[in-house]
Amino acid sequence: MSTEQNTPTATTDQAATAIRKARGALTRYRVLAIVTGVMLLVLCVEMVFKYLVPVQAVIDYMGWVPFAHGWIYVVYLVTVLDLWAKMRWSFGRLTTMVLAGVVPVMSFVLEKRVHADADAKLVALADRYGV
Amino acid sequence: MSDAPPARRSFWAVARQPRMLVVLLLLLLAAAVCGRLGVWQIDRAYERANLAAQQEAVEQEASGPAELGELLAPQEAFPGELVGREARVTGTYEPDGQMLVAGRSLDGVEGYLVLTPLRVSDDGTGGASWAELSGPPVLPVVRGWVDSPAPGPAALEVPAGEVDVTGWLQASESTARTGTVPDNPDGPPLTQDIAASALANTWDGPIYSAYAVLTSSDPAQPAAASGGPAPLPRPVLDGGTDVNLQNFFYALQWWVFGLFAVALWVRLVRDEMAGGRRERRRDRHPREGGRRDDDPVGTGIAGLPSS
Repeated sequence: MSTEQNTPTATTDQAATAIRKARGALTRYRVLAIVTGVMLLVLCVEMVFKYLVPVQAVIDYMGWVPFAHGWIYVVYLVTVLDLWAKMRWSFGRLTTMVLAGVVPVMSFVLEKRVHADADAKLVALADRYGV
Repeated sequence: MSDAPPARRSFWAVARQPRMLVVLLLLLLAAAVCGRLGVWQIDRAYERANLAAQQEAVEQEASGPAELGELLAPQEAFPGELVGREARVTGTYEPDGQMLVAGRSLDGVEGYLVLTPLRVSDDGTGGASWAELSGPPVLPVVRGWVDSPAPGPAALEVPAGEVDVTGWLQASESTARTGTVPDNPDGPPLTQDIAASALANTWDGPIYSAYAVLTSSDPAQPAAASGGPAPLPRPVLDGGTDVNLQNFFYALQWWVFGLFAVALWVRLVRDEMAGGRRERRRDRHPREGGRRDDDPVGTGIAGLPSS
């Protein structure tokens, strides 16, 4: 890290790299937030047919759903942890992002806000470092 | 932050700060909860398997013996859930085809199973189950256990004529156990396993993919007390329980979450080593005493210094 001045600085190259990596993490998070949100809705449908109005044909057809959601959620968590760590956000935000993968519809709503926040930060950073 | 250029601190110097230790503790707690949930999933897997097995056993016990023809046709693949099911069948023993299965223990004593072909004459379907086949089928019947390759005549003697046989079903074995069997000059021929494919060559006609472990017959064979073969226990499924694989994967999932917690902490420490500073809650709530949040850059991002 370059430390020629008293305030910590970074070269334009370093900034460009960091911003590009953060953008990548942001995109991965967006994809997984949407996929997880959709899988969670499918899971809700499956649970309705399993526990509220049992329909054997549907249960047979959808047995893979809880399993798939579980593992997609694992991948979602990877993208959440990656983005959250990169963006240096607070622990409160980590909690909401982790929860969003298991509360129906929440991941869609939160993804919008997270994306806007991250975008504002990255645009401002690009501005500051002249990327 | 101080005005001095931040020197890169060691992992240990960053990691042992009270704040980082609290974070580690919380993450480890989360990991422990995940680990515990994983163990719970495994327990549930076994519990479910045991319950299912018990339930099945009770149901089969209650229903009593069924006609063999209602359960299984000759040359039909043996469905696993029939293991231990009691079946009734009528036929004639063929003592000339009788064999001893070597290397089988009963109550820890190594010995032999008495394996006798039963030519089926009535399986409850009136012959319909072998109407398309070359003739009446043969069912391998394990009549009991003996401790010697040359047992007394009572053990080898079978009831003559038509016999009503009741026994527990078990899947025919494979011929995987290789190696030659020794000659048995003083008794019936020896075999390594009860394999329908091999027995079909020795005994004529169609054969079942199962064998029966005798529970009773009418007329009865000589009792164990008077020299007859000793009765065997009810066969059970290999491995005993059919553990739910899905629960195993759920358990694995929880353990993966636990690993994430630890990996995340290492990453936090490394970012701080590089001069990063994490956003605090009050950064976003200026009224609580933090700075005004009019700068979207805030604490920056990983790979860049926190201003």
